[in-house]
Amino acid sequence: MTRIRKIKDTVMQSFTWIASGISAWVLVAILVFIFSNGWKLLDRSVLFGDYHAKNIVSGFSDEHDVNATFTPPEPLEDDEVISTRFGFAVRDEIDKEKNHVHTLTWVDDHSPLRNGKITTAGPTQGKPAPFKAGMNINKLIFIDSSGEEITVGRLKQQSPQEWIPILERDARQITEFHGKEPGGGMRGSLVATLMLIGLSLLFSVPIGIFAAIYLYAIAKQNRLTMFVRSSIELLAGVPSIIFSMMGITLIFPIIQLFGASGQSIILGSLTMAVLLLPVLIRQTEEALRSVPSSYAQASLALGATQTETLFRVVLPSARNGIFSACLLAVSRIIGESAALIFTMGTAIQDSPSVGSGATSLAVQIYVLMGGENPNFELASAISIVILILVLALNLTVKVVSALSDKKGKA
Amino acid sequence: MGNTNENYMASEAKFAKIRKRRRGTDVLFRNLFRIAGVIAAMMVILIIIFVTSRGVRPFLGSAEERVDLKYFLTGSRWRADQGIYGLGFVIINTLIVSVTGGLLALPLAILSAVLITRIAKGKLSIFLTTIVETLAAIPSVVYGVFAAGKITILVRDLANLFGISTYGGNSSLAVILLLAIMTYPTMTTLAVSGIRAVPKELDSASLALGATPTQTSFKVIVPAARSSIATGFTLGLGRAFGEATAVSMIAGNALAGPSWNPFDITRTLTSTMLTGLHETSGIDYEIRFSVGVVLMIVIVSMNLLVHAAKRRLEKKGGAVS
Amino acid sequence: MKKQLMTILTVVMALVMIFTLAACEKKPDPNGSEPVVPDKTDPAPSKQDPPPVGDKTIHVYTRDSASGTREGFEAVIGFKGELTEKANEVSSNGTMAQQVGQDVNGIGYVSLVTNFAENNLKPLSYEGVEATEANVINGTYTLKRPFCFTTRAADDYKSEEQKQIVAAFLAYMTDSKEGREVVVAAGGITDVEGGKPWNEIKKNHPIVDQDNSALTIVCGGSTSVEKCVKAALESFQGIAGNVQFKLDQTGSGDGWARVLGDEKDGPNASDIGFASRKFKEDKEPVGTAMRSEAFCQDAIVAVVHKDNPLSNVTKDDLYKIFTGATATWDEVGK
Repeated sequence: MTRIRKIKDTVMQSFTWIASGISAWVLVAILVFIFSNGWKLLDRSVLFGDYHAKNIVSGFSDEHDVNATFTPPEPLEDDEVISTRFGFAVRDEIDKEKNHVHTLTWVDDHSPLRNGKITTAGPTQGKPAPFKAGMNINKLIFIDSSGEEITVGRLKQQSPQEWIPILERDARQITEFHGKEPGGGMRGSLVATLMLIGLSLLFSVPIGIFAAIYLYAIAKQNRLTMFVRSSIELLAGVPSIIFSMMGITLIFPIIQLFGASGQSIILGSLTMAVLLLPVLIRQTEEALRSVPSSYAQASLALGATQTETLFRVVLPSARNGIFSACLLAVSRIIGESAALIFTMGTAIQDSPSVGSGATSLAVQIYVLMGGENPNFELASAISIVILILVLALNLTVKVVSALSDKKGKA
Repeated sequence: MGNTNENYMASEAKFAKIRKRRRGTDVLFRNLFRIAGVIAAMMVILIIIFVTSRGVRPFLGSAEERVDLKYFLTGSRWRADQGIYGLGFVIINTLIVSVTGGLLALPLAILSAVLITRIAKGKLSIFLTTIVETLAAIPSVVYGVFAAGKITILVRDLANLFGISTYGGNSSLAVILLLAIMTYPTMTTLAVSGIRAVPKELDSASLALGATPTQTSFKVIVPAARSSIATGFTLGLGRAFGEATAVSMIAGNALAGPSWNPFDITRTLTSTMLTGLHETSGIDYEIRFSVGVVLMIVIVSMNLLVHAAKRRLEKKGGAVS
Repeated sequence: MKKQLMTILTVVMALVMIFTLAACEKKPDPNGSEPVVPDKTDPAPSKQDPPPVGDKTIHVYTRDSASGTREGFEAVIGFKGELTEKANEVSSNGTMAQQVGQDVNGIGYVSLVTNFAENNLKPLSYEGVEATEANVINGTYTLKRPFCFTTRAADDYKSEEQKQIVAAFLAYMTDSKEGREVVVAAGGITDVEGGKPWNEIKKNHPIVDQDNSALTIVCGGSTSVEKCVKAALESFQGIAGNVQFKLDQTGSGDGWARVLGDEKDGPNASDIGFASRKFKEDKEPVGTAMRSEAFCQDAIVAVVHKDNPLSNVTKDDLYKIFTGATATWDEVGK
């Protein structure tokens, strides 16, 4: 009997271990998958680079020395093609978005390319064009000995092996250079996410805290309170995709009155503000409830009014909890995608502004996965960033609550 | 003496003024708090009103553009290209994948909760809790990337073992697995707090009667925490029904159904909404709001159902004890 | 009662275990060879099974109903409304390419600009003619459609400058040699040498010599045109005072709606609407637009997984496959 019992117990216990083992395995699988796909790509240019390639058009006015020759500093690799007369080398590569590009791998310090001036109208016009390794060449226009303009490069469907010899042979002077700084970065989405976080919190934190105070200090046990509580409970259960529909049907007409047009960060953050309310209210109320009621009683007994007691005694004592609530809200914003797809749009922007659409990091992932060229690596790289941010925030919440626990005990 | 009295009178008047002003601030703030509370409470009602008012439009339009409500709710084909909108099979698909996913996660969640609260001690327990919390914190779009890159391929290879071919792994089964993973943390968290809330006496009494710790865990403590576990299950289901981005990446979009074969592609309410809203205007655009309304109704009725079941369970439990 | 519960629990657990074991078995090989794209790292299906695997059922992939690629394809093959119920609807060309590339039994259709090798795809010849630019221009490859654009009405722009910059961009992309070059490099098909030099066209569009970094050209509509238009816009920035742009491509159905239709003042309002087909005269009147025309051609290519032995299809094959008359790969071509 006892043996059977023992066996039964062991079996049940091992089941519990297996269950937890599965969850741990899933977590590890997710992390390994995301990191192994994205880690290689994750560098400065992805983190802080533009998503859209930046084109640089530069012209050349001064004559170059026709007989100059340049030697590359070190032996270059086989697939690099060198122009000794103009002092640069080019390689045919596949970029982050899986397109063929001709990348500059070396530009000599005295190369005539370095004399290029930006011809694009605007504040940078006439400034020296930046030439450095890593840039792409789209096309080069040069004048040959008979004075005719000739265009060569990738846009002419030529490989570097084809067009560099032509340049070497015929060019008298390079007149125009069309290059681009490669894109595929996430800076724009990062900035948009920060804006979204700031605005969403700006709208939702005051309402959230005030509503929590209402439930904590003012609401009586009556129908209204019951209604408010269960409504907020219900709001927490509304799926985020419904919030995005609310954004379109309810909030968009309102902000349209203030002149907003189209999907925008402001529409996204108002939508998020509503979505965050239940989290904020619940966490804040919990934090308020954990403040010993003797604090409030003492304050009231000393003659402070209710408002003073709330703002000077109760809220400051609950600040750790409220801070945690805000951090949780931030991590929710960073991870949210469905509520933003229709309210902020799916167009990736490099310089987002509050009044126009942009993507948050999470939405950029969604766009990359469903886009014209699904880009797993870049999506994974952004996922790593999101994961690190979200996990760091959750960790901070844990540390904060552990600290305040300690303090409470002391 | 009179001087003092006069002073007192003056300060009394001054204090009265201050008190009055203070009371004014009190009233002001109290109203502000109340307004904030009511705004927060009103949001859910506004959502229901506005989304519904938009969602009924396709059924009210002129005769040629009108969508047949009855077919919309019961139909088994979704052919936007032919103007046929039957959501019935989509509702069934959604129920199948969400409930199966939830049922798959539930035993795992209960077992993990028992391990965390009753078997593992100290650091190990904290470690296991951290795993669950980390899973809960991973955003759904990251789950989507994982699902599209890994789960689908897993399912595809599994199907190949049986000699069944799949749509590149996009299938009900992939969605079920994904939803099981995504609902697991919610259920576990609730189960853990439910088990922790069970009175110590129950534990001691069971042990004193000669039950082993494991027997106690499974036969006394878990049943005692069933209310929390049911709540966790409901919350998990809610998440499963409403999960949009990740599901839409791997569901495939079947044109007709329901999809009973787990290796077949499916179409859920949320995946319909996501592909839909993203692409069109006119009736194709409006109809997604109707799908949203259906989604809300499904979630609410599922909640009510689980609530009813829970109450029934509690009644029975009460009779036993 | 409780015993029953326990039994059920145990059965479920056992099922889960079996499942996980099956999953575990598969696990090591993708992880062993670590990074790179998942569908590339996973050599299992191509090695183990002589493709197409299993029951050789054809898996039909189609685009959503707003897609111009789908309309173009259905129009040429001639099966509008007859699509098989078993089709899987995907919402972009990219997803189509990715999913067919993961499915040895799949067949779909994408634009010629798609990177086939990168997605494990094999482009099929149509009626014996290979899908190449040359064959599209000389007219032998007939499975093709135009890329078109339309714009807001001339008096419906936010500002005069906005109107001028949009006009300048369209002139650059459509008329200039340089613009056409870029479109061609991005996979569009058009006659480069027939274009005028930009330096000439530029004279009619003095706005490009200003600093335009405060202006944003908003594009909407077809997803197929995205690659061409994005390349054109990027190269236009450099010669037009750094004008900003926003590409929100969702499907040809939206192209007209967002500039002239009922969405033109809504949250998705755009300056230029694209379609990867002609605008429908009855439903999408473009008469009021500032400018509206085709800027290049694109071939639609039927694609299968790279391990599928098929290499050529006829119109009849495609018709039978996409209407469901042919259900397995063995029947194709018979």
